[in-house]
Amino acid sequence: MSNIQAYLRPDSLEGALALLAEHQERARPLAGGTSLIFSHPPRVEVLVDLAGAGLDHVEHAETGGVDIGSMTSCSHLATALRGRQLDKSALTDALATLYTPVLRNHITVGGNCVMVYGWSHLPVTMWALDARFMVVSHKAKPRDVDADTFFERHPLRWLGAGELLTQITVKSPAEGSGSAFLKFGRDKSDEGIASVAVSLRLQDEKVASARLVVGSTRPMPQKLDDVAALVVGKRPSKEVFAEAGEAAAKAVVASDNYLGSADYRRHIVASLVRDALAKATQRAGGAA
Amino acid sequence: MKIRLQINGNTRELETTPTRTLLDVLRDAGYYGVKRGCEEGTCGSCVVLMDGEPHMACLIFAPAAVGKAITTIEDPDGDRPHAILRALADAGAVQCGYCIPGMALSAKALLDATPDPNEEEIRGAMEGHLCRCTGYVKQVEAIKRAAELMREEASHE
Repeated sequence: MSNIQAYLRPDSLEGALALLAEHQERARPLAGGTSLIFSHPPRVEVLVDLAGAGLDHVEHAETGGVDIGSMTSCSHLATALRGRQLDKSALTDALATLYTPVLRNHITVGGNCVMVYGWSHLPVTMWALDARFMVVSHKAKPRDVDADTFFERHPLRWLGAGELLTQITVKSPAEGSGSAFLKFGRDKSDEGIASVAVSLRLQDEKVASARLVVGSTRPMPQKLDDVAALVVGKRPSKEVFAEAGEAAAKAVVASDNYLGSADYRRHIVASLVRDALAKATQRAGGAA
Repeated sequence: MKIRLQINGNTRELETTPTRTLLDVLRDAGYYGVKRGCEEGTCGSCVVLMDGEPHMACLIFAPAAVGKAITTIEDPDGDRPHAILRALADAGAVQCGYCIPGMALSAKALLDATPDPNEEEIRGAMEGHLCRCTGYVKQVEAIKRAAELMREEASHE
């Protein structure tokens, strides 16, 4: 990485944005650093360390939602969610199995959402939870981006030079709602062979709405609206959820890698979707 | 570039480039207890504490450690061997010893936050620390014993 000549640590968000605007493509914001330390971005000459930008915070709304500063580490977020309304949700499931405890001290929530690797749990989860993303840049109006837009393409492909993700908002869970994240890997903390995040809401003992996202079967997560629609309007049951699992296995795009073949990943997805729907239903106060 | 790091309670002015890792800079400064293992955040042998929290020194650009209180295995908590190190030795948990500095520091972070951890919590804190010699059982026993020793020492203070 000899092309990187300068390491800058501004003491404010405004300072960081000004530096990113000044250096444009030559600058790269530095969050947890776990990506940049391995990559060799050819045109990057300046690192802008965001540690002093005031983005390490978790603010709980009275209604149970949470605003998460993008520099918050995964371990700090997990601690902040203990005993809160989002405890025992897809978000805490994902945080508890995102690599190892030591790595969770490094990995930031914002970095995990923006970099989107196959092992990234938070894009899968935040998409299923319909999170919102605040993107700011120097002298431009902040953009409040919904999850569908944020993850439609890899964020690095549409975030402009000088744009920064500063906050992720997870709204308060509606009454009768539940969510779950499940991963299948070689062990608890390993990269997933497949992962699934589900959020749903029950009303009158039926599924009133559902969101379902599959991760790890390829680098970008996949939101399967047609599969989620299969459970909406139905009473939760093992049969309904198994049917959704089979449909997800057919719909999902999977690739081969050293962890498993595409066919094997699809097989795993079927089970994970079935089980995640059951777990989310249980958390919503229902039974399958 | 020169950076000032707080290491084991001392301020050190050290030379680095923007992208040298904390692992490289610490070892060049003589902190050989910070072990070079996988260099990709997988093995845990380079773990140091930063503000009391375990971090992989191989995953941190050295300038990112400015302003943090860094603890290496060379001096955790003073002059006599720490209860964790004594317990690891007494339990026979050390064979080649390469993984021990990182494990001991993660154990210290655990016991500082959770003075009486159960086995699940100990095993959880050891996730990401690879040991090729001992099979982990002795280390878990040692950390349980260290917790007892630390509680006894605290009660005598």
